[in-house]
Amino acid sequence: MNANTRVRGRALWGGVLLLPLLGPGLAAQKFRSDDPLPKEPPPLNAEKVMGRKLSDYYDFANNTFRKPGEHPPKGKTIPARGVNTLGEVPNSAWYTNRHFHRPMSIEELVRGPGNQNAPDTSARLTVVKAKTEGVSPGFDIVDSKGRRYNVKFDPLTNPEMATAADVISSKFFYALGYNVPENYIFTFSRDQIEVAPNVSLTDARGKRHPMTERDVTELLLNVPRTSDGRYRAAASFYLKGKNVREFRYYGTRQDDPNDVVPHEHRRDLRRLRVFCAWLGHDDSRAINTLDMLVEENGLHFVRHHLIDFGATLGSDSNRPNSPASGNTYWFDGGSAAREFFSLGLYVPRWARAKYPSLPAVGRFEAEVFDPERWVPFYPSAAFLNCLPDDAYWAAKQVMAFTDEQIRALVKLGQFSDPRAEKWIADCLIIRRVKVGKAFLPKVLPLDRFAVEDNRLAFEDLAAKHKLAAAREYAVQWSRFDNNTEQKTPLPGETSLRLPGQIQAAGDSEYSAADIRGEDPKKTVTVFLRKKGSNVAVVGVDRTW
Amino acid sequence: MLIPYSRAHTPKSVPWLIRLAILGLAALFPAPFLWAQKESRAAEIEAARKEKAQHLKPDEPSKAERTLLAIKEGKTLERISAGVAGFRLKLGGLVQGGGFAIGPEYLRQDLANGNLIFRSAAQASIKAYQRYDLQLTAPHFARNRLFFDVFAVHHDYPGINYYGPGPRSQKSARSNFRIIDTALDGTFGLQPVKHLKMGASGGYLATTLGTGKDTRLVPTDKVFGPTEAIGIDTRPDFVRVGGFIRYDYRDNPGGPRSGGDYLIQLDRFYSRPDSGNDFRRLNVELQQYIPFFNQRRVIALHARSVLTYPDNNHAVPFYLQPVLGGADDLRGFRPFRFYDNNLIQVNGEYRYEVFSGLDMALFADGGKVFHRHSQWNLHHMEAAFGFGFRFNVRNNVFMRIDTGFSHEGFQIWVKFNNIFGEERIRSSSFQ
Repeated sequence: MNANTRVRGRALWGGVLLLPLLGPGLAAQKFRSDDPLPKEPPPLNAEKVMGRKLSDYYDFANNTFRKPGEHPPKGKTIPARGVNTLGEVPNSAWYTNRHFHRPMSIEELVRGPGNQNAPDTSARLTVVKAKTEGVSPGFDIVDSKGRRYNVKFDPLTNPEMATAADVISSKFFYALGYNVPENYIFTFSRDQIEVAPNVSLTDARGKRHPMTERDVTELLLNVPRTSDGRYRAAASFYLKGKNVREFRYYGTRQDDPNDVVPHEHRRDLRRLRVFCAWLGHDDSRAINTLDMLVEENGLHFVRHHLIDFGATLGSDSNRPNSPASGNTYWFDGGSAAREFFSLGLYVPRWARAKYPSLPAVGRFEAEVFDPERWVPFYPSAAFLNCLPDDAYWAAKQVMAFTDEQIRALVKLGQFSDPRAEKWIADCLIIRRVKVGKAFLPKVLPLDRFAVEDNRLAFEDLAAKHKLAAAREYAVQWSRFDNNTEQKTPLPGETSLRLPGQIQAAGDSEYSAADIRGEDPKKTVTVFLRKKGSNVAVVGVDRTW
Repeated sequence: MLIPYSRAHTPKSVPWLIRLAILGLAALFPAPFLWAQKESRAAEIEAARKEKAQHLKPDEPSKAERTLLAIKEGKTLERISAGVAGFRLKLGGLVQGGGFAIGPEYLRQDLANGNLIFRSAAQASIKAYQRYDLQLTAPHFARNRLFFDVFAVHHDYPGINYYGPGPRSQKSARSNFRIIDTALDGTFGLQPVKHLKMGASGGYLATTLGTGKDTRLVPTDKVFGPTEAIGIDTRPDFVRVGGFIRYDYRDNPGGPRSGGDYLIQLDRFYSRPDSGNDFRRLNVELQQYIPFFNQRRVIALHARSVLTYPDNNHAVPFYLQPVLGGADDLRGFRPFRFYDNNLIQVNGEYRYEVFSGLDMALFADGGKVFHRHSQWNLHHMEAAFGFGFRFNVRNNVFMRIDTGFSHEGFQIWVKFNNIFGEERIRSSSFQ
């Protein structure tokens, strides 16, 4: 059963069973006056959103042994939501279109969410909170300018690994459209650190006691030092607003009126799977997200963030990542059974991966990396729902990074060993190509549709990125009835030039161009609307 | 009714007959169709938000999630482990065959600014085995360059197996004896370079033997005389002095996957009063872990030899002789199956990861006890084979279940330790 059949089958059964409810949909116009929506409307006031903490144990168990969120029946699909008629994600509190839509300069990429708030290391740094979450040691500090940071360190065995990953990946995720904190690498000496009064520490045995200078010293005993005896750390600048804790990768926040699309269906979260695969972020789970209640223009609303990238690029924060990470869930019944019954003679491909002897790299490689098989630490409802068109949209953004841009961002890891910098950049470049090869061909990879000189123009991303030779496409123009969604083919109109009837159409009339490649299942339908004398692209539908 | 704004773009194709039918229904029964589509996409989104705004409620985690969160936030497991005011429960850890043991333990790790650890425990098992110990240790003194340890222990083990001396002892000759011993040991050492430790160790051991309490078995002193069970009649105290050198570069002692651990220890035992039981004891232990397939497979090799050198006209008492059999060496044999002056033991394990929390092991054990040093070879070894489950958390083994087979049957071991654990540099044979 191909995709088109699936879509039609779903509509047929839906139509029969939900007949009384289909009226509005039938009467609905496919396109509204403001389509395609570039950004969501201003949010409703959400000042009553309260902070609540989620359990990472529960999240692990719930996602590993159950399947929370809405998932399609076997053989069916549920298209992504939170997208406009072009299939793009409108700017919102979740996501901002950045690098793919308007290529960022290297300076902009390097700046990321900001680069003007590095900790002031010319004066004392005051510890104001002990770190109680996560596996890597750390604490919160306030610098002489009153700016607050969450500070984390590298493990003794792998200097520079986690701190570099934290900074580099934050820049990538920012460019990819997500809200992330400003992360900085900085160094300090022991005598710069002081503990504020009334800071308490819960030790490994659950005992709470006042944090002392000795606690800081003990923590720093387990932190690698630079050649000049200083301590290197990653500082995450505190996000603006009130911390209302994590979001889940399924469902919605019940106290947030603006959170109306189930997270497992959000395209920005579904396609995050591809970005995480590229950057080796298998720790992409609820505990590493953060909702902040912010106020802008007198409105309170929740801004959703990804945080804590210390477990990316081969790092597992306090140790190198397991070679299994990204290749199999922590527990995968099928994989475990294969291993168990084969007495270990079945050797997964990833177990043969080769890693460099570079402590700053951890376990990051590109040769065995398979973006289609990549999985996070445990199942994620949004990632499980990722469809070929979701992955395509992600892949085109990954492919938007040039080699030079990747190298510029990796340089921000401030590796003392240039081989580490080169290895990670090289891996990212190769992994980028693998992502492109894997996901661009899942659909007909045509993009950036526009009408130029009365012709339908677009980019063939596969050809652009040299993943395929330049190709010819079959085009069929139609008139399109926005109320009935009926297409009336225009005989003989099979070139990219806009047919005369469409050019001469009345205001707010619609047309459609069905584009096909060699694979008949993979089509793109581009919808155009006449407005005044202009004809503009208003929607894109894809089948695969 | 809400139609998510995002669905408008999705491909759909409703057959025209159905559309026609619905249009007809709409004409006949207009009421359900009065819903009006929003004019703009933005209005549709806003309508969805307003609809939700009327039904807001606190986004509270489920009861199960709150419980798990409370356990983690409150560090419940850590608190149970840490105990109250230094007191906590200590489970297990007695000699093999002693049964499940439990008892209070007092632990302080915050002495001398965390440089000194004090620990004391009293345990009894369901088989009435008892153990009391007290330890003061400074494992990381002088910036990890020096360490010392003082350890006192008292055991009362009412039913230790004894089958007679030598490799040819009969399984059917199983007897049991009671041993009550008290030992005080001190160890001082230095770590000149990473991985390398060396030091001196000394101790005093007082032993009392008695009739075994296991009524199913014959008491040892009824079937073995002083010529076979040397020392069963004299039971002197012992002073031990010795030294050791150790090179340990295992990647993770709690669950090693690469590296090695090599120990050589030489001790001299003086009987007090002199009862003709003075001897020297050389203990050599080698562990090597050979990983492949990115440490998802590991060959673990272990070899150990204990050689004793009695002084002229002296003999090693049977309760201080090297022993084979049990969960840590010959896993297809009962605990304490073979006693003699010397032993050699080799173990090999092939371990493979089933998933991150579980490794499987296929193992082969070989070993023998022998009387003369000229018998130090790999001939006529007892053999055992088996398989095991190794449960681990963050690469540290917390429980293993091993099943060993031998020509004497099979044994199942449930242990809360890692196989080939660290050899203790102490006086008592029955830690």
